[in-house]
Amino acid sequence: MQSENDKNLPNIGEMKKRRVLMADRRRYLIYYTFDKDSPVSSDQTSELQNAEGAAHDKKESALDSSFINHNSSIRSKERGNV
Amino acid sequence: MSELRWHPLLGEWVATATARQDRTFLPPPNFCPLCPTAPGGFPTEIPEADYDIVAFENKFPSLSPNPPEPAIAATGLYPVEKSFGECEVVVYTPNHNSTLAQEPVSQIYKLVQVWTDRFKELSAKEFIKYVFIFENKGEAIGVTLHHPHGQIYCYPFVPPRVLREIEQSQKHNAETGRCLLCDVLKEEQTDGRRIVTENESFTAYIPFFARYPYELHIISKRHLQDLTEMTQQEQINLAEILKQVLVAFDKLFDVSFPYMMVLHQKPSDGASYDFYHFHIEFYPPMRTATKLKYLAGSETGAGMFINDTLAEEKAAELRGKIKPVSWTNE
Repeated sequence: MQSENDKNLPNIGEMKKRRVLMADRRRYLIYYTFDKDSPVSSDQTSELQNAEGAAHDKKESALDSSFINHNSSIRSKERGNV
Repeated sequence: MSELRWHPLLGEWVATATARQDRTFLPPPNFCPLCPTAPGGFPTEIPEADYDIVAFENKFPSLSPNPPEPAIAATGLYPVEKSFGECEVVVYTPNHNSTLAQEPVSQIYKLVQVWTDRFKELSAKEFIKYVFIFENKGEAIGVTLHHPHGQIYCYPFVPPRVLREIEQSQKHNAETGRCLLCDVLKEEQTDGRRIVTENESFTAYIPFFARYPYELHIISKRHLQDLTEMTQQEQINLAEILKQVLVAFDKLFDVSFPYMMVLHQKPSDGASYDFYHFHIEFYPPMRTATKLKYLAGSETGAGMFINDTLAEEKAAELRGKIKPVSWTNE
């Protein structure tokens, strides 16, 4: 979100994310770097995913679906959600 | 083994995570798993050094997206569930010997942006109902790795402490039509004695009801529910007030000050929490330069905290240590 006042805000650069699979091939790791040579844009991140990172995300998406039914039993136990 | 066990006396879940018993414990610096892997050196969690901040899945998670089957069968009285969730580690800097207080304010501003991004991404996952960003700092808290870092726990339910805040906030809103924390902020600003510092967007104070001698809250002046609602100016102001408070903590006794820092934001379960107000809480265990406040019988067994100090006096001490933030000397 840019406005005239943003010109006076400190410039740490554009946030970039790079998602990789870790050495155990099970977990993900995300490198965040801030590129001062790019203009500040808090609403924009450039995300580079390698193929393995994308595969990890697809697996997680499948887990989301399987959890939906499971979650209903967890929530029914709680002492009363707002 | 890892599972959720129901606590029928308290009406809440307890997670077991036996793998955590063997997690890395205070390794020497050259075996720090959170440092970037040195060429030819011990392989750490982080292969590369060219980054500002890193986030990764915890090797010893209490909750995970693919949890094992529970170690024990459930009964009618004792429900058991798989420990779904996520646990991430957020490494603040490649520099092993730093702390968040010692980092330049620009690095804290980057961290605020990373927190916001993690919160947004993790909140979108269907099985996550609460994204809890926090930092445990110092051996007095039980920290096992010194490299400056925080964590993110993503629960499949709203955790009890936050749920209670939400209930209190909703009750106040129903009775008065107003936000509870907006009223707390107004009360603190009117009184003034417990304010430690403030800027355009945030106020830091030791609350009237502080349970630890130097318990400190940071609250947004604007009524926000979570990090994603902040403007860029507010992100900068949050970084600035965090820098001021963290440095002041270290100057109190001239030691790297131990604390728990927790971000209380709205849940990500899809419900409306318009009455809730995002804020940050610090629970430092030190009560003097040489003594710690322990959670003993009354606190742990009865839930009743005893504070040996007066919030007004502690706030005055901390106020005396607050310095202006500089972006230029970095």
